[in-house]
Amino acid sequence: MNHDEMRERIALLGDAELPGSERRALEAHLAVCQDCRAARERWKKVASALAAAAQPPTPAETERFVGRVMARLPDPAPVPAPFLAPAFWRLPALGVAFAAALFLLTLGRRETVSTRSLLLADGSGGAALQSLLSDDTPLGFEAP
Amino acid sequence: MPLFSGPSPSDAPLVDAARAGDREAFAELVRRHHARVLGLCRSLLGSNEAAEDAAQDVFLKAYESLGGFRGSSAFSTWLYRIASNRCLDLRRSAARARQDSLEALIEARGDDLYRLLGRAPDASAGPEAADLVRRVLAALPEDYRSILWLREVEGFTYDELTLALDCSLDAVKSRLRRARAELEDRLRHFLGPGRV
Repeated sequence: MNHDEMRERIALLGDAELPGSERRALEAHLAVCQDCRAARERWKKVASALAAAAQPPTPAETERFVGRVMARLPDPAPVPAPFLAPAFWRLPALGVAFAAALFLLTLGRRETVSTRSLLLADGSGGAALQSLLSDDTPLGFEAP
Repeated sequence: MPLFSGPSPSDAPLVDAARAGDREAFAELVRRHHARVLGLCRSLLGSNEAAEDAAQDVFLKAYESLGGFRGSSAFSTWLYRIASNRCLDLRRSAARARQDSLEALIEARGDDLYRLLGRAPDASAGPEAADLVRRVLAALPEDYRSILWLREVEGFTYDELTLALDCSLDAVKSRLRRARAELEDRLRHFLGPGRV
């Protein structure tokens, strides 16, 4: 870099991001150039004045800010009852429970009802049917 | 110097939790990014009060738009974009306040400027320093003003500048170099030998 290019980059010496090789080149130039050393001192005064204007928020100020933001957030919308919520299944569950109870109640009857007696109950079975039915054919229901 | 040193914890878990309705997770995101967003708003609006209001708007907008944040960029990048857009909207809609020229400022507050520029680097500058610096920078072109405020006052790193200003690293370096040169040139009467 020539002198003008060095002069343009003097302010970079205050930047942590300046690559080491460039920093060394600038510092080597400053060692032999009074004009650039003076420019460096001038920029340091300006940078210091600008930094004096910094007003980072204190932790207490940040907490007050958080409170103001949270107070402005919209209220959470009511969550609709999802499909799997217990309340949704209450009525069908009662229905199933009733049906199951009825089933078990009926299942509990021990009395065997034979096909023969069912068919002959009203006397309409006929002799031919009687001959077909050789035994009581349980229908699966037994009265206690 | 950057306000934050070392790697910062990832925002991703907090963003996921906030999206699922965890308001305390969102409060923590606000806590983490308050300083940076406020600094960006200050750089663009030039007033503490306006910047404070705008910063609140930014986080409110972020909360409302969480569902649309896909995570393809960092949360801070997305937040800076919201902040920039909000501040630009405010500037478009507000009547532009008259900005003093630097010459008029020097005439009115030249002694204050001498004191500010002539003080020892670590000496305190008083509460009026921020206002004076803001007025000095207001006399510069807008892109110079914003990058100088973000870098020299708020301490944004080069990487943070690329995100806040939405430009490349080379563009940041170039703009910063030009902005510094412009400011130093305008303040040369206060910086020459025998003045400070």
